[in-house]
Amino acid sequence: MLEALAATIIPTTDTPGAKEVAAHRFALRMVNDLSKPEQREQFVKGLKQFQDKVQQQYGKTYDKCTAQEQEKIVTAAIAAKDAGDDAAYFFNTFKRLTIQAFTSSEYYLTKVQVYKLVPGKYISSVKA
Amino acid sequence: MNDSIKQRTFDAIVIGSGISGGWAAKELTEKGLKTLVLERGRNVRHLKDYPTTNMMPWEFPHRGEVPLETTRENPVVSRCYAFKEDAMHFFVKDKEHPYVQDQPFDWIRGYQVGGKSLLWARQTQRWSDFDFEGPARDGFAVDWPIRYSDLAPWYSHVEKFAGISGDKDGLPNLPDGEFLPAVGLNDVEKYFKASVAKNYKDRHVIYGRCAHITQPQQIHLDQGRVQCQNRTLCQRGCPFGGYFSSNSSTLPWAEKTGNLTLRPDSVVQEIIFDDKKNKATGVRVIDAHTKEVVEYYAAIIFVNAGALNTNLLLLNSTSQRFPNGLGNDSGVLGKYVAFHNYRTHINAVCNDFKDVRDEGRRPTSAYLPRFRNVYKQETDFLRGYAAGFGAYRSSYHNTDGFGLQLKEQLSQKQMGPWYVGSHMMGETIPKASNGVSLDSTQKDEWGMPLLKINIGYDDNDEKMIKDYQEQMTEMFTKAGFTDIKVVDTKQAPGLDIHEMGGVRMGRDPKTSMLNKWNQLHACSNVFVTDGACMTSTSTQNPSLTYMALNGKSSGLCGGAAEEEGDIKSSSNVIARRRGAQRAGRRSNLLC
Repeated sequence: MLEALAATIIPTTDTPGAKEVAAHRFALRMVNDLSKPEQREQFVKGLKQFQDKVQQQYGKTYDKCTAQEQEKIVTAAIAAKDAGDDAAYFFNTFKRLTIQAFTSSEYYLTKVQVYKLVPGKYISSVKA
Repeated sequence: MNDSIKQRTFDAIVIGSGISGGWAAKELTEKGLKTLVLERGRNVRHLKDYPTTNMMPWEFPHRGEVPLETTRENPVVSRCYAFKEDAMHFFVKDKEHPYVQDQPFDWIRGYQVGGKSLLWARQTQRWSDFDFEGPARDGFAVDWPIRYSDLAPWYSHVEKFAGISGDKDGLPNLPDGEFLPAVGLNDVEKYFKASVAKNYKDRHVIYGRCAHITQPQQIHLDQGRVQCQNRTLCQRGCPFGGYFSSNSSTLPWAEKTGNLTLRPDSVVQEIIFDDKKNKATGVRVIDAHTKEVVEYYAAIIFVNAGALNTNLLLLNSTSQRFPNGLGNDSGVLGKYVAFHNYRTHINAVCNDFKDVRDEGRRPTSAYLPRFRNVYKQETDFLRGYAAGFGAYRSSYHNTDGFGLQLKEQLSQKQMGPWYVGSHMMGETIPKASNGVSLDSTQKDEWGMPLLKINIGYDDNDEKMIKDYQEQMTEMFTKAGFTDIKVVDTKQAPGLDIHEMGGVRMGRDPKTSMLNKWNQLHACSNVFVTDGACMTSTSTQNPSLTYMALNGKSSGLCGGAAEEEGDIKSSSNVIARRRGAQRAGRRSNLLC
């Protein structure tokens, strides 16, 4: 389910998306290893609320929803991002970590914005 | 047995292999002395033992962040800016090496060959006589037994070898050195430099001098070090040897002489003082893993365990002659410990220079030498502060929305404003009440008493913080920076990682521990040449001064030793033992 949600946030096109960089696994690792227990608990509660709501509205799990339904769900979640409840905490955290996973992935740092391990020169002034 | 003693006897023993111990090892081995370097931590060989050095960002499971379990178990070291996923393995974990905090003190340590020289921030500013004359002029601590002219040649000596990048700025309060080219300031830093110069006659923003090879000289190539590649991943250990560390520079150099024996995993419990011979004869070592106890002997002992651990070792080295710690006739051992006050910083936005940015990464930034109370006392607090200064052009991704739109947004970085920031590096006044002692009951796994640290801020520090905040706010305001935010982190002393003193130098054995050659007044074959020797702290990052002091003390091996009777007799012992075939080199063996 989280893999599908990450794929809605950053879809696969003719280039890799969240799915190919296993963003959901990274997100879970970060929540597990770096969040305080109360934050982890809130994340889990929010995830459950998110899932329950999808089940109520569509009678199936998120990953079984059509792409159109998934887009509707995510649009609604983004609209509710400032709600301050557990569901918003879950969604905002998961989206942020999905983006972090993507922009720090091998694909992104070698093909999109190239990370230079050995930059060599520092140039003090270039045109922005 | 005799054979074994012979094998365990050296000309010199150096305790510690960090930035100062590495220098002692280099200088002593170069002079032909068979030198044993004892390091309490594991071996870290240049290139071979830098496991993360070439790792890409995505190879770190937490992208550099430290797991919560680790920060919970190690609250002190977790507060250090460099304690991240890529370099955690070079830091001492709180849990493994406890100490007692009578007042909060963040003691940041690196127990391995190379010590914290692998991890340091590499800023290398010289002291001037405005610093050395501070205690005498302002009436605190004791007078330094040396002046700038004593150290200047040794600054040059170590700078040439280490490789220091800098500009010749011509400032009397921050003397120029032997510089390789500067990497340079960016446009906003240059602008601030000009703004400060225009508004204040006595304030100067300069390029922060740093231990990076920006244009390798033969002496660097001979060390196997090449040009800094501006990776700014220094804390992982540098495969280019681009910055100075014991591991990349002094220790391999010492090894090449054939005179170095390096023994890692060796916790020195005490320096052995022979009451009959009236001098130190060696050290007692406990193996970090097997706990086997072994003694090593030498005519000369250099103590470079790191400022506070050097205090611990001397306090723990008791004898009939020195019941209160080696060389501690004066009773000042462990007292007058000071540090640099790093408690406050300031941030702001620069709204100009939107059409430019810088490109790449850079191992240093700008530096503002002390301008308060330099020529005379002019504020209601003693001494003053230096300040770091840096500007960077921010960039960000627009993370609104989702799907194709978000993916497109993530492919492009948006330019944000320039941010500017500065942090304070304040001189603190050494006091008898700020110091370290041995816990009377608790011991560590190696039988060493736990160190009790009792160090705090005082009124002078508070006034200085306030002044820094006011003055930087004024300088930022005059430069037209906006959104100025002043922060007092309230961080404990120690997190500056510039703890100094406890075994201070001085002219009078009644009030100090060390003479002008860093020898214990009362036991002259023991030299203390790490941060413990510092009489006052001034404001400059101290490592360069430790390096120079090691050069100077080891330099006793030359002509200067003629006046130092005790050292001469130590050297005679060495020369005798060496026999006639080496007598011709005796002048080089004086140390």
